Amino acid sequence: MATILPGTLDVLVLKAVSLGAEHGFGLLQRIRTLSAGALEVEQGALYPALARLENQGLVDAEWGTSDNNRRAKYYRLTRTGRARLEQQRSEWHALADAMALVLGAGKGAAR
Amino acid sequence: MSGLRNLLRTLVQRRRFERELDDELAFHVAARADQLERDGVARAEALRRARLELGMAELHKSDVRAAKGLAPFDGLMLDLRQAARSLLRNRLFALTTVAILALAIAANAALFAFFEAYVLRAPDVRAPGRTVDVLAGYDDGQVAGLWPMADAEALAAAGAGTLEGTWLANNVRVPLLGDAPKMTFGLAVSASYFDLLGARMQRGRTFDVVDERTREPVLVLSAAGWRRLAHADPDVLGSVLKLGPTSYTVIGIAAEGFRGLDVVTPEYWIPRAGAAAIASDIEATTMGGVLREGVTVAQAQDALATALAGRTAEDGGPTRVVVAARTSMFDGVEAGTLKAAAIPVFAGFLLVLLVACANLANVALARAAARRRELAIRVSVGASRWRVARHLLVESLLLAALAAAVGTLVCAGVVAALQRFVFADVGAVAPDLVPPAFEWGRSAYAALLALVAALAIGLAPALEAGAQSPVHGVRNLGTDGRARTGRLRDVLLVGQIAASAVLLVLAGLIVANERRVDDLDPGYDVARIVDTTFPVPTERALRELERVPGVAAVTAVARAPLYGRAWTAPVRVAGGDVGVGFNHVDDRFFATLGIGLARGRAFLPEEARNEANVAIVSAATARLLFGAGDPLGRTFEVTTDLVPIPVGRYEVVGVADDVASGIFLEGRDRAMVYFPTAIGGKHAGALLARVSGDVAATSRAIVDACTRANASVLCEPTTLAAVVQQQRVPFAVAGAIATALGCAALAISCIGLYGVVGFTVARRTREIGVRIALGATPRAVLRFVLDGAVRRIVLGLALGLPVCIAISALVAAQLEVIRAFDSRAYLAMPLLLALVAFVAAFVPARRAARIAPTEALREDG
Repeated sequence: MATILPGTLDVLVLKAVSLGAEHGFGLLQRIRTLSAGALEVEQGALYPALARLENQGLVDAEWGTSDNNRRAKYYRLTRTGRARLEQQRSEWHALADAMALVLGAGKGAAR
Repeated sequence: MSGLRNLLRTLVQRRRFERELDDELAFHVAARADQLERDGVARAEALRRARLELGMAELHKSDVRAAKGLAPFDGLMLDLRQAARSLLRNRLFALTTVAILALAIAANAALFAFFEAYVLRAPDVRAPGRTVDVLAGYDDGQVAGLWPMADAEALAAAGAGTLEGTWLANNVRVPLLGDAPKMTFGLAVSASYFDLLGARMQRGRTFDVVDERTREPVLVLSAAGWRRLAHADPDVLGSVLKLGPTSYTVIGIAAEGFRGLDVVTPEYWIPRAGAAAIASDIEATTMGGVLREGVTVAQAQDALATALAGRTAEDGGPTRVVVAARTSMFDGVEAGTLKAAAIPVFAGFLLVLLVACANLANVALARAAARRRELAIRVSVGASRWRVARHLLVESLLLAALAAAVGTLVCAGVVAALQRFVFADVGAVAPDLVPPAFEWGRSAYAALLALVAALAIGLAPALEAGAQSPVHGVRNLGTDGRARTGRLRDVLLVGQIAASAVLLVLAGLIVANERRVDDLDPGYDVARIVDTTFPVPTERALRELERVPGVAAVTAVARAPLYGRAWTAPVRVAGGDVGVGFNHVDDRFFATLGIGLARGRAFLPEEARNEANVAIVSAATARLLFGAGDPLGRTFEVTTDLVPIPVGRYEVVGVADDVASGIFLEGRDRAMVYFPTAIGGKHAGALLARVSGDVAATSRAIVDACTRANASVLCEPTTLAAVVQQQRVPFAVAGAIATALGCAALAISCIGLYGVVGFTVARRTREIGVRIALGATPRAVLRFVLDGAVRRIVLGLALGLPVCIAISALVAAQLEVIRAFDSRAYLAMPLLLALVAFVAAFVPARRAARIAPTEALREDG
């Protein structure tokens, strides 16, 4: 199981929220499923991250009812949140491509 | 932006936020448990595991709060709660601090309230920013309010391009006749006054140019005048008020808010045209105007200056036009003077606040020292030093906030009370002053003072606590921190004593100057000379007054002496122009007042009747004008037509003894010239009587005599002794304020000294016990403890007295008549301070001398 890189928690949560309104527990499940079980977000870290995103106006929250008929707080992406996700995703891709290039380079590539 | 909005929403709905946070985490646990249960785990075990996986819920919650930006507020709330608890535990300390600080803040805020209302606040008129005074400037730099009529007309014409309009105004003081005659105060104004200032009416109308042209005697009451002169009768419109000889018809009542431009709201306004009968000096007038939009004060001043073009100092009259924006209830020049005069007053009040703060800082330091153990424990269990320092600061902020609130309330009460009691009875006419109402500006001032006070009080112990080593603190050992605290407290105490010394000595100086009234020997019997206040002397009045039993003699003069500085005029002798004081008097003046004539003679009756070109000079004037030579038969010239003395050459026919007729601080007149006048002449303006019988009874008889002479006159006979006493009023007020401030500072300082010595004794009980056990006598202990206190007192005086001397020298340089170095003030006041301070130190010191060594040594260090 891979650890989450520092600074990437927020974008992971943002992505998870972007797939449809979901409560905190559901978001954890989503991240695990999407990463095929490779990424496990620490449960306690999720809620401060959500609070941070909500404060920045990137996600909205409202109370609803879960599948098991419990009251749960559902998070949804806002318009700003979507824009930020888009921006961070392209930034991430640029970074990942560059990292891949550097790390995948063979001997003599830098000449 | 959204973050701030979110934060505010969360703060407002804090309880809901916390509940939802709990609910959310509870749901998380429940959902995880559901999942585990589906995988076959028993419910109880599933819940346990879910909780374990989530980890420390409180920690997560605190992370969420931090993410929401709530942490600083939670910290502040915690500090506030702790501070409140700590203050509740020390109620005596909290109450004393709040009381001392509140009083100091209240005094400062009250002073600010009056200053704001009278000097800073713009008058409530139509165009406050554009309303100006047109003042008369003289070559010697003086600026006065009055213009000769001819100049006023020329100025009004010259200002047409830059001013929307101008008005002229004269004060009117005349009795309202009726069942119970009373003095009134009004303003004779041009009709333009109302439109230019935007007068608002509650009933009727103002007067206009038509009324002015037809010289109709009409009158507009102010709201205050309506209450005072018409008992707020709603049907007063159309009725007649008999002001002196003239019957005025009431045509309007101004709205409550319209007060004109002056500090004292007039009771009525009447047209200048036709007011000459009741306003005797209407030939000179004040002038005001409203600038056109976009015109600056300087532009208007340049335009108006053309009216005086070619005027030189030789003509004697105003040579410059000064246009000053009307930014307050005083004209620009007066407001400037008042602002300058206010500086020492504000300084004095702030000094008291400073003394209070220094004192409370001292108490706070002592308290912090006593709480060293508590604070050190906090540090050692992990509180950061900043946290401990913040805790102490919050405590003093809380105290200061309480003090500001109490101070503002006290201030509102004080202002209302002063307004009611003090200002209600100034002078014969109870003036209607602008109320210094509750203002946010003033609360802000109080809050600002409180904040500064809080920092002053809390900063020292906070720094101290922050710097402390927890090990030493917990074990209550002395550290170098204590030595520093001690030094800081010494500085504060010495500063307090110095400040008290400054305030007390200045109070002493003011009182000493005021006392000079009693030392004044005017050179004639002021207790028996009565100013009848009969407005314009007539033969009839003279006869009626002479017939009053108890009146020995009556004389007519232009102006009764001792009502402020004598009028002055330049006279020309061979050596050049010399400025002298002057008065016009009749042939009986010197005999009536009992002023001796060293040479020559008094005026002859026909000289007085003809207002002949002769003069009597005082002995000092004779020396000033003619040197050592014989002044009799010598002449001098009056060359300017801007003083009420006809231009011409005057022959000296007598030399009178020097007397005092101006302000008491100046003593006897330096130069006084008497010109002849008589009843019916141009100059006679007052009737003085010498009373041989009982003054009170004769005064009552004089009132009746006045009314017999002219039914529309209400005299208020006043002895010249009473007139002199009125001159001391400003000194008495200033002296009372300075004395109150000085005593307050002294009291606060002494409480501080008492506390510091007491505290020292308490802390050093063990040491003193050792000394006594080793054979120190009570006397030696007393000296040992008092030594420090005496050093502080002496040092405080040594620092305070030079400041006093500097201030005295500064004042003496500006006002030469003030005696700035009074031995009584400089000796008695420091002595008094030293004595009181010594007693404050002695009481706790004696306790030290009585310490029983066995008790002291048993005490846990």
